[in-house]
Amino acid sequence: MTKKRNQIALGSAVGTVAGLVVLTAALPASAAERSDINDLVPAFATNQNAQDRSLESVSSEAFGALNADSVRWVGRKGTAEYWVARKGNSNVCLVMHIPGGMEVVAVTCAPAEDFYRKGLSLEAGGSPDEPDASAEAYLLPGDVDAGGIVSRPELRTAALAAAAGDRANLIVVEPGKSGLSQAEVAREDGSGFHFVPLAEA
Amino acid sequence: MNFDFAVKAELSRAHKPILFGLVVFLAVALVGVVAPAANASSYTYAQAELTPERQSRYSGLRSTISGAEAYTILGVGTTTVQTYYGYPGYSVVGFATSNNPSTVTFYHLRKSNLYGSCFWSYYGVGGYAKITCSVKN
Repeated sequence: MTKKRNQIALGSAVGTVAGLVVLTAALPASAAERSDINDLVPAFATNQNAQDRSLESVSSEAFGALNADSVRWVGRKGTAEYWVARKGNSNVCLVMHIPGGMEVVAVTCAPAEDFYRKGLSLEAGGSPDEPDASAEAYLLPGDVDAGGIVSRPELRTAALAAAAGDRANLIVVEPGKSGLSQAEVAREDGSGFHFVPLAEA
Repeated sequence: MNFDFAVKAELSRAHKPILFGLVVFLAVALVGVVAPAANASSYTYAQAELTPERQSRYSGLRSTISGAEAYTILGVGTTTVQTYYGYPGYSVVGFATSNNPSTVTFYHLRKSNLYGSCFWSYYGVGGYAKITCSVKN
């Protein structure tokens, strides 16, 4: 009897471990990959807290489509609230929620290597004709000097810039009124990053 | 003593943990595959359709829509996806635009009798790209 119990326990343990090993392998990211992405989006290196998971109560569907443990709240600015997250193997995502009206939650995701080259741009809302019900934001890799984009005199909505502090390199502007234009800005390693706003993409 | 029977019985005992382990493994793996798939309730109206720049693809009338998603296989420009009421108002319910290459998705309150559409754009220079678009039920 005891032997049978041991056999069941052993089988159960072997099966669980094997299943978890396969699932872990199917999920993203080697440790090296994770480390790179943490450099690109500093918020990923922080511990997840209740505010980070607040996206779940805003949109369980959006939250469920992302890697739940990776979701991080990065700020509220203008008409929207923002999170960053990872999805699948190595995608980096920017999430925005525009409260009221149709309760729009928008997500854009790109593979880490594309995110490194171009960042993520997102404009969304209830209607493109209603600026108060829409939002526009740019998530740049952590090594890009966002100041080179938002401090230029022609930018009319600098007050909304750099919303996320040191958690993410996030620029938030008023849709269609930002005055943003293409810019070549510096990366930490001395190379350049070509910023293209949605209006000019 | 029946030697064959004894060997078979011993082998059977030896395989029990393995078989049980296999069952548990399959159960764990199934949860990992089925759980994410359970969220996927959408209608794809363009599947890597070769589409001219700024020419929309349309979903047709849908009984309910709670969001939409699009992706263009292109390294430049933007992709826009939207949901809207048809005639007579054609009012937009939700929209999202993102730079390529990326997957752009949005969710909104579930509404009845909506349409979805999507297009890609790049400075108006023309050309063709493959776009995939869907609406969420």
